Amino acid sequence: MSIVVNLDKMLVEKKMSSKELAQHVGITEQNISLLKTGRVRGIRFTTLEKICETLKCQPGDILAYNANEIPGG
Amino acid sequence: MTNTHKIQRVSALMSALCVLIVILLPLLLLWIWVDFERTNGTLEYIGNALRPETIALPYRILGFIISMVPVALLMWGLLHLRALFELFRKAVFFSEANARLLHKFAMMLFFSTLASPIARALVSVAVTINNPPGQRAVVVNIGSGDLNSLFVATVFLAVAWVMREAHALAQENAEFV
Repeated sequence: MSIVVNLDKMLVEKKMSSKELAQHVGITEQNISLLKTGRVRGIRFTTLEKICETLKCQPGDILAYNANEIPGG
Repeated sequence: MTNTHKIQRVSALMSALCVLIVILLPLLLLWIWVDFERTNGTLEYIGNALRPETIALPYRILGFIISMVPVALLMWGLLHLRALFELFRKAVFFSEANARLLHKFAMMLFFSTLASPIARALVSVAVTINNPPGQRAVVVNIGSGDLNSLFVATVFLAVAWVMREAHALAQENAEFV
């Protein structure tokens, strides 16, 4: 997929574990893991909002568009 | 008590009711053909050609087998309906199986309704075959009950279709975090 999820990098940068983020955002750790690997169809604005609020970042810090990635892959 | 709990309780009742109907249907049909003199009101549609005293045992058995066809289809459908209520009882509302089971019940109801007038026509032949020539009958009879059943089956088919789409939407929704 051309949309790349950089949540892993942000978690390292902010020194936060997936478990902590999951607790703050209010979704399961499994869903955070799926999100990190980009194996989701989409992300709700409410989830994105809570992630940005927790990690004190912008949506663009988490999501990026990479034209070289295989679409739908 | 939450709505889910209420649905689960009602579904358990409906599931038991389906089993009861599945057991009672063939027994009632058997009773009709065994105690023919008292229950021949169910064959009133045949009219004057019906003479209960002339119907020999093999023809009664044949009549029972023929009338069992639409009943068996309905029983098969009711078993699918029971499986659907069992899913509801377990609080499974949006799985692919829900739509599939409702579709199968609707299809069986549809085929059972289509088979009913054919079975009635064949029964009329079976029970009048021993009448003197000229008094045998083939009675084709489609009642408002058949049309009602066809309508209900079509409604269930449409609902099953919508449920399938609802499942696809629920599946898509589940892939959003």
